Amino acid sequence: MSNHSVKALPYAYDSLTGISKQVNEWHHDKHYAGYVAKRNEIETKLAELKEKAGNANYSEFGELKRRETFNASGQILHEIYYDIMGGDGSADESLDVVKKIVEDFGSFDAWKEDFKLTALSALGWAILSFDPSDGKLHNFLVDMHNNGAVWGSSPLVPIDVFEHAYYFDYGPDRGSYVDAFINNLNWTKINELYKNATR
Amino acid sequence: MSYSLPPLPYAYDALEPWYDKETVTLHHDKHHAGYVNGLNAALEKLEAARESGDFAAAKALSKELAFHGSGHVLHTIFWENMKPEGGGKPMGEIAVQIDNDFGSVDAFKKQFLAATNSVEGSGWGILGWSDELGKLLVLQSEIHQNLAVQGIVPLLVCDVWEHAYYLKYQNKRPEWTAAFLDNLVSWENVNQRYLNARCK
Ligand SMILES: [Fe+2]
Ligand SMILES: [Fe+2]
Repeated sequence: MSNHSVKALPYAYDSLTGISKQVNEWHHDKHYAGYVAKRNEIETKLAELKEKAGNANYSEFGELKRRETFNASGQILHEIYYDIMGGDGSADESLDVVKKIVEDFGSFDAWKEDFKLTALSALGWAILSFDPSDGKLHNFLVDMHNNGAVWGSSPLVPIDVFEHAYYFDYGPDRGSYVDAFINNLNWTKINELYKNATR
Repeated sequence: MSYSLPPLPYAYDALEPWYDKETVTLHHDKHHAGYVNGLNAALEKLEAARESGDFAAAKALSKELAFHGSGHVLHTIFWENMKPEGGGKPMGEIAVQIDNDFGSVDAFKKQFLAATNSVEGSGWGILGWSDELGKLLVLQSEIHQNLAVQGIVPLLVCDVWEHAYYLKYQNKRPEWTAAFLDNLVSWENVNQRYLNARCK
């Protein structure tokens, strides 16, 4: 209980192109680590809570449960976000996930365009996800970390569009950040996630 | 009619060193301008819907209107709420009402900072007047429009979207909100808003 730990960045802080060392340091060490710490704190508080009152208008228990999904989702999405970067962005056509993207979106570029539009529209994340209910890939839009999740789907490529992810590097130019993110993707890694999701 | 971006009521570097020129410039010229454009676009689409009678997008357009409309309103108040060499103690009638509703200026400040610092994700800390409740309230607002008490008139608003402070304060939101309250707030403006808002 309450022992989620921060995963180290799987590459050097200065190794991404177009996402600065400074942003990675703040984003990973402060923001992401903050979600992990709060998740632990909330789980501990829930376990120790003396008066467990359920109330849809307000109760301490209810608010802790509400924050739990925010912080847990924050932890999970940031871990995948960092895991799938560190590559050179080249999406080899022989990879299963790339074949599937072409099948479901028409072409890789069509996926990219839709992904970017989703990222420009979100107040949280845009996520390429595999949804087992229809066996297809989708770009889902999520506000915050936890509003807009589709049950049972597996996140494969989540892009963080909180301003802390790009504002220091790009100011309000979110589009350039999305391009930089796509160019840093490690498609071999993403293919592994896809295989796990479809196994 | 369409809305236009109100000019910044002081020079872009007037709030230095607490609020840097670069952030103020981006914040006003890009972000605030974006909400003005978004508000105009939502109103145009609603007008088109009324003309054609096709209200299929009513839900999305209503949300767009609330988001951009609130974004424009709050940013307009936010800029007017600040001045060079601001901060200090509340003055005038609002000072009396703050003592009345919060016990002391100190207690108000603590509550305002605690609420603003703990806004989930992007949003605002707001001191507002409710004529119906006859009280000043400190509220959080998520995004721009969520978590309001209906009828509240915002008097003092602190933007805690990351675009408001990230270039200068990074993830240290409490340093930004403290600088806002201690060094930037124009209590004359807040007091005037309070006098305008209070009918009863
Ligand atoms: Fe993030
Ligand atoms: Fe703002």
